Amino acid sequence: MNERQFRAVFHSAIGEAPMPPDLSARARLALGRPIEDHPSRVLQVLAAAAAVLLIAGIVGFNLLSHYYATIGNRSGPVTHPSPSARSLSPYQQLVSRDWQPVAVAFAAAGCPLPPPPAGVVNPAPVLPIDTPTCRAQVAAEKQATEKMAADLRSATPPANLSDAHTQLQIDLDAHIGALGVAIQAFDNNRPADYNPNFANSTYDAARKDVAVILR
Amino acid sequence: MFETSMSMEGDRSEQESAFMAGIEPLLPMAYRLAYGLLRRPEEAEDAVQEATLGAWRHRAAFRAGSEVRPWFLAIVANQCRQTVRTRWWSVIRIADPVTSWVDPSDDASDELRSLRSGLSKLPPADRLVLVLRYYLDLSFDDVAATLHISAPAARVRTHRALARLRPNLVVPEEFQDE
Repeated sequence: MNERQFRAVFHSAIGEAPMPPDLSARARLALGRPIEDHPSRVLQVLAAAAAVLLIAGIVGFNLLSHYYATIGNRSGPVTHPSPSARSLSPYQQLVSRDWQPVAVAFAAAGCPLPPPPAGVVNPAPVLPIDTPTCRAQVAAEKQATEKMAADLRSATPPANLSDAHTQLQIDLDAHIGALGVAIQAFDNNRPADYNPNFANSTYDAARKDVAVILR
Repeated sequence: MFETSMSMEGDRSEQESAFMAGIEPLLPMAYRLAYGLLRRPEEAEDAVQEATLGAWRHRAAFRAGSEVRPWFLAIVANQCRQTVRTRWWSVIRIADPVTSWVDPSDDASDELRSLRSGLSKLPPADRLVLVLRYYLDLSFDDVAATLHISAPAARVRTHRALARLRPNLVVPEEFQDE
């Protein structure tokens, strides 16, 4: 079979179907369909799905964090050291260590400060400590810092330490505020909300003031 | 003329008129291709209509200076492939390609029935190249342009498709571009 014969057979095999006379008109009508309809509808559906997913994600995240917070509260005393507890020990020691020279410096300048409160000079408890202990330490620290701030306010600093003295008061007040936030977190049964970095930042600021005074 | 038909300038009705002026002469061939691939007049109509709409929507992708015919036939062929492959009911009508080609009730000769049976079993790409070449009577150059391949590649692909038909039919060994 040559190619021409094969072509004839091929035509016969498939058959002939005349084009419908209205196909051209239908095609022309099809063009009249709004072009943007389909894509915009798809985009709308996609946007709606994305919004639903986003809302579901946010709600799920909140539920999850709430769940973990609840787990933390239900579990009772924490047997592992929490970040707050871990950061508390050096923090407490450093304050007591730094405060002593400040008192000495003020005393040498004729402006005696009371000695550091007993709660501050006590050695830090051995880790791990549980949440109530951590809360107690923070509370003791806050109380001690408040006493420091009160002592500092009652003392009249030497002229050369006046600025540093004022700054130290400000930073100690900030530190007291940070410790208050921490205590609130413990009292609200949300120990995870306690941010040791925040407390440490105010503490670091106070330490720098101390360093200025001792210079 | 062809480039004018794909113009994106002017208002919408002007663009439509220019587009249809370029596409309308190709509709009989497009329908023939669709029928040759699908073997169902109503599906062929739908395929050509959808292909026309697709060509209109994507006319910006048409390369200036190239021919409209192979571009449009490629769209039609693609639409036919979609028709067979992606319609959800094609799963139910899994035997569709075969039943549309092989009708036990027809009184065609054994040779024709054998050829239809062979075509129904061919992969879609092979069927496409044979329909373009032997049903639309395109030259190898035109087949190549429609399939976006070179003319020698079109020749080879036709040869291979025919070779797959050979168990069913005596087919030409040699090709001559007419």
